[in-house]
Order: sequence, then structure tokens, then C-alpha cells
Amino acid sequence: MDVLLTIKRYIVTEIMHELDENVLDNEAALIEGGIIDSMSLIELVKFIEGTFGLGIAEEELDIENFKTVNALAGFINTKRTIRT
Amino acid sequence: MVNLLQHLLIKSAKQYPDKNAIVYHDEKITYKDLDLVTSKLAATLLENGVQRGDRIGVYINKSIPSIISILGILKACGVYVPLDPNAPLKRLAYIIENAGMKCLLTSTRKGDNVQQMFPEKNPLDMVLLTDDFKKLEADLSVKVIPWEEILKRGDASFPDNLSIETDLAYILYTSGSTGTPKGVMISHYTSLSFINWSYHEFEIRPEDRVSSHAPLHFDLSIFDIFTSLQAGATIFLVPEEYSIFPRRLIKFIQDNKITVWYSVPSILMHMMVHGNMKNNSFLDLRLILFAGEVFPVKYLRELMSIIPHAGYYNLYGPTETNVCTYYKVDQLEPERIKPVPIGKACSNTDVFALDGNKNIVTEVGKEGELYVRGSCVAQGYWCDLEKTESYFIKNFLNPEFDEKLYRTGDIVTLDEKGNYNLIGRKDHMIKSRGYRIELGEIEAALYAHQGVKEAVAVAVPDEFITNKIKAFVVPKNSDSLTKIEIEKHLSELIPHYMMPEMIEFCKSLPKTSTGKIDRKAMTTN
Repeated sequence: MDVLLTIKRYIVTEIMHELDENVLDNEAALIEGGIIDSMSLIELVKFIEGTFGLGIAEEELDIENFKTVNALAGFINTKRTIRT
Repeated sequence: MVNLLQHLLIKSAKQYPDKNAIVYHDEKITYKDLDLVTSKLAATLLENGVQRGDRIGVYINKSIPSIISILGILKACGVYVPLDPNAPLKRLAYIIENAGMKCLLTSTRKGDNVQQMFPEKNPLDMVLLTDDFKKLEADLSVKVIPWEEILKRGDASFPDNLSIETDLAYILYTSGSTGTPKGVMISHYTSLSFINWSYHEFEIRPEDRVSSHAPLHFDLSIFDIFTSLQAGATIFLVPEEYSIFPRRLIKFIQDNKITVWYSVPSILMHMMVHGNMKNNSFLDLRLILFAGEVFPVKYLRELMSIIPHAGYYNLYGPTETNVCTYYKVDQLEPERIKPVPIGKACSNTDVFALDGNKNIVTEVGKEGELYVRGSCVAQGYWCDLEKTESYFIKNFLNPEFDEKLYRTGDIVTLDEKGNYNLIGRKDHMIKSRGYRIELGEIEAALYAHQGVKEAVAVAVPDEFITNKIKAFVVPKNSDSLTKIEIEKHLSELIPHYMMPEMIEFCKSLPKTSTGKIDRKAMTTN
């Protein structure tokens, strides 16, 4: 499963309510750009945990990990590498 | 005499010139500098044709320039209209046109959205940019004034007798049941009635460090900004992105030694549930005010055990009255599951409940609709006489008094101690995450989709955010409409907090015997 594409598809369809994935650049500011709010963050975390079988700790809920699609995919990939 | 909101700043700037008025991240501004720059802004606005009572939009993310903007507008005798920076552009375009706005204060990034709001011709004459950029990318064919021009002014003199306290200070747009938002008109006099009460009741002092969490289009911000200015306290703007990450928010409170916190309960619950609040100490926090929604008792109890030394107050009031009742939470009985009362009237305010026969409810436990009178009551809805007359009604209990009562639509009961308790609503307005939402506005947005034959939105009670929203949609052609298509359509018309969490397609909607949509059947099934 491609982490970046899976995450991006979720954010575009479930959070942004858009049809076309091209509306979201991988480097677009998810937090400062107002795309993710506190409620959608919790849903996104649940989705990541469920889809990739990962646990995200409270201290990992931080701006740096959720800044962009690229940053988020990098964070998930690192966690997956550590786990395996 | 302090009879206009801007006087609070002017007075404190004389008393505490070198004290920090606002802090945002690493940026700070003292009272003296805030007074000067807001005067420069006011002088610029007046020189460029702004007149008493002009509605001026503030379309900026929360920051020091956003506070400078509202204070500068007030000094120029304008009426500030805060625009939700994250709202859909069609909604903002409606507000700009409805308010008859000719001037907008915005940032370069947001300003370019104006072209998308008005692809044909925009109604604005002038845009002031509150950041360092000098021009907009979009050609709006309006006069653009860069911030630099305001800052470099030498003088900042302007007449200070241009308005009186009954003039409007701001218009706050809130959800409207017929599909478009409605603008609540608040005068200086009305706003100061609340500010003076809260300043005295909560004993806000110059040494207080007050958080500002609520966005400017939400009336909780009035306390954060103006009560703090009255006291000569320091306002700490909560960076919008911090609200998303509870541990950042906890650190923000600790690092800045916040003494007074005011927010909707759900943000406090967010910190408790997702931020491990209980393993932190909050020694400086002396006062926690909450409003906007019901605080589930189990979370309030937990918060009171985490921060036992703070004072807790439940503040109640629709935007039309700012805050009209309050309740000091002293202790919560261990067996209590019922939410805390909304309490009793604030000073300069009178509240009472009327039963179905329009008699004042005096009996404990009997339900009635809550009415409000006094100086806290707004002037009505901007340019909407029909709605104004239906909610702001002549005082029929004492017809000899020429005054308006505000009919809240909230059903309440009285308890043995004379406190009011919130029971529910008379209509289809609901609360979710502290925001008030007219289900009719969501339904109107659903009906605006050409593939929708029938639609209804209902509230599903939720412990954490008070209510979730569920929409039922009957498509015109059963196979052609998708959930994502409906969501995309809605996201262009309504703010994210109004988006239904659940959308269900059905062949028809259940009806009552009189042919009305049976909402009750849909909430229970």
C-alpha cells in the first residue's frame, strides 16, 4: 500500500470533500492552511491507526508530523520501518 | 468618559503605556504602540472616505494585525464585521454584500480570494493589506492600501467625537434558518454592558494574562479582547494551529503562565482526552470560563480535579445578548450527571421564562422559553426587519416601556435556588462544538444541489461535541448522486463545522400524518 497516496486520498475526499486529488499539493500546509482542524485530526489519526496498524502516541500529535502530506507520509513510513 | 469600546484601549494606554497589550508567538505590542498604530489606521480610513457607521470587513487569520484592525475600525467610527477566515467563499461573498461593505482589511493571501468571491464585479472600493506585501496578485480594480503606508504616517490625529454609544460597534454573522447567515448588530453600549460586568465580576487585573482562543467572529472574543484591554491585562492570542494539537495548547497555557482561560468546553475536553492534561500542572490558571455548549459533567469534574485551585464559571448567552446569565461552579456532587445550570442574570440584565400562555414561570421544574431584556440585548439583525421583529419583540409584559425583549428559543426550568437550567430548543437550532447551527441552513444548502429531491438534517446527540449532524437525502435519480458529490457541494456553501458527519440516501422521507417531515422518527431510528 502506498502510504502517501492512501493518506492523500483520505484527506482530499474525507476532509476537504473534493473529488480530484490534484487539488492538494503534497507540500501544501495542512495545518496553517486550515485544511485540518482539531476534529478532523482525531479522525485522521484513527484512519492512520486503523489502516496501517500503528499506534500514534500523544506526543507524536504534533505540528511537524502533520505539516504536509509529504511530512505525514514520512512520519508514517518511519514508524512502519521502526516496527518491522 | 469611557462610553465607546476604543476608549478602553485609550485609557489603558495612558495608565500602562509600556505594558504588553498583545502577545502572539514571539511578537508583542505594548499598549502605547497599540494605541498609536490603531490611531494611524483610523486616520488612514477616515482620510480615505470611511464614515460613521460604515461596515468594514476583517478577513485575516487571528494575529496582532487582526486586533489592530478591529480597534482601528472602531476608532474611525466604523463597524467591524469579522469574517471567518476558513468559511466557504460563497458564504463570505454573501456577508460582504449583505453588510454593504465597501472596505475590507485583509492579508495578501486572503485578499486574492476576493476575486473568486466576485468573479464579475466586486462591491468593494478599498482593500487595506495588513501584511508586508504591497499589492495583491488578483486585479480587483479597487484602491489597495499597503500596511507600510499606515505605519509610515507621522501623525495620527482624527476627531474623537464622531460617534455615540448607541452606534453599532460590530456585526457578528451567525447561522440562519432560511439558508443564509444573519448579522447580529451590537452597539458600543450593549457590548460595554457585558464588558463592564465581566471586568468587575471576574476581577480582571493588569497582571492577568488572558488567553484568546475564540475566533473573532465568535462573541467569546469580546471578553478576551475588550475586558483585557479595560483591565490593562495582556492578551495571549492562541495560534490557530495550537488548538489542533492538545499538547501544544497545554504547553501554551504553561509557558505563557495564562491566568484566565475562556473557551467552549470541547476544547478543554480535547486537552483532557488527547493531551494527557492530568499529568501537567497549571499553577497560574486562576479562572476558567466556558460557554457556547453544555459541558458534560464527567469532564468538568475531571478538569476541576486536575486544576482544583481555579474558579469555574458557566456563561450563557446567544450572540444576540452576548452573555446574559452565569453560574459559578463551586462543587459537583459525585453522583451528579445533570449538566450545571446556566444560572442567574448578569447585572444590567433581566431574564425570565414564559410558559405557553406567556405567563412568567415561577414554579420549580416547570418548563418555559427564556426571554432576555436589558442593556445586553442587541439591536436586531442587519437589514432583516422580518427576523428582527420575530425575535426582538416589544415588551408586552410592560407595554408602557419602550423596549425590546429577546426571545431566545431556549427551553429552561428553574431550580430551588433560582438558577435556570437549559433543557432544549423550541426550534431546529442546535449546538455542535460550541457553534450554533440552524439545521434549516444545512437543508437549504442540500436543496441547492440540483440532484436533490428532498433533504433533511437532524442532530444526533454526542457526548464530546454536543451534537453530530446527520443528513438524509432523497435523490431525484436514485443512482446518480454520491456522498462525496454532496459533500463537495456542501463544502462550497457552509462552514466545515456545519458539515454533516453522516449522509444517508433514502427513497423517501418519513412523514407525519399532516404530511410534514417526521424528524423525530429520523432521530430515533
